[in-house]
Amino acid sequence: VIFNPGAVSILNVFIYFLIMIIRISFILFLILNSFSSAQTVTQSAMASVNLVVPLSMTAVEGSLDFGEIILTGSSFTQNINPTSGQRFLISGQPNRGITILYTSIELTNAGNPPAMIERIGTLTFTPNVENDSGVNILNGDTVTLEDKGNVGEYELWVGGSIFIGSNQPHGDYTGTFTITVNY
Amino acid sequence: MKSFTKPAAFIFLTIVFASSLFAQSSVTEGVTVTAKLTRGISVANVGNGTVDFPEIVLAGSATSQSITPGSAEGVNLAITAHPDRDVSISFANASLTNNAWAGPLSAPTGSLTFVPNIEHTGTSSSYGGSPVTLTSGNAYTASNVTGNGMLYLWIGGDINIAADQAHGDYTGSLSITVAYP
Repeated sequence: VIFNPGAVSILNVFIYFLIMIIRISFILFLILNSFSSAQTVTQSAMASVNLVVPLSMTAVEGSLDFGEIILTGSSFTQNINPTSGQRFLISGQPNRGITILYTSIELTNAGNPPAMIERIGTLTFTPNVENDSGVNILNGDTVTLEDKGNVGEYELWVGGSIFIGSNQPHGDYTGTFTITVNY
Repeated sequence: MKSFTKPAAFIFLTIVFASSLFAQSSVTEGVTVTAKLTRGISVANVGNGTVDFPEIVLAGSATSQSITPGSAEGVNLAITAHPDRDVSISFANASLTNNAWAGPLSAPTGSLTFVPNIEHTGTSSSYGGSPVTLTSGNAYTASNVTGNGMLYLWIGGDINIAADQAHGDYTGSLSITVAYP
């Protein structure tokens, strides 16, 4: 039943007063209920939850293998271009910002049989991270997951460089590069 | 007692929701970075440095002279490479001429062909045992000695002297190329 205040009639007046009585009764009920009962107290609070697609990240293709490098007795830098390196696919909430964290790491030849190397050496791997548009992504940068329908995605390409000293010990160098993504 | 029930439940659920929300708000992925640093090849002359034929008196007839690998007149080279890696060794005959000697004297010039005879003794820096004769272009293993690949070469060779060979001091350069195959 819809009360139309523009149409004045006995029926409309009756309905108007009926609605008002119901409203006042309900308010009185709430007031009395909250003050008169010492045993039962009802509180209400707004509850809301924003369900977010969990983040995931997968190394989907490529590698960070510099291959064989012949030492020359002079120092030089060896590079892996990001597009020739390791591709990561990040999935999560569409249009949600994510922060990308990574650092340089140390490679070592300590895993070689001792008899096969003259001495233990280290190399610093300095990562070079780009997105699929070739934009450089720095450590701590925040980017937005691209809306791919039900999921947001972002691709990262990781390359990097190692500086090889003039007296760098030979051997097979390894290390683990980690990249962390946060909402 | 009941007055605490619903707020407590609300707080509890809030914590539950919050914890589930942030449980996968961070992910880390790791990949292995590898680099194989191979020792550069070096060749050191550890002997007298010259294949030096002693004085030869021309007799007016063709003859040949030889220097045996491992002899005092030969050359001893030490190849250092990546441990237990093969290296290919290439060499060719060398041409010797007496031009440098004959020029100032306006003497007749001539040439000789030096045919190298090269052997290796593996990691032994002393000649002996069962030396292996090298074939140009073949690969040989530089075996590990305290983290370096070592291979010792011993160079000798032959020259053929013609009956009418011009006299003089003959010199030339023998090149040996060592590389990773």
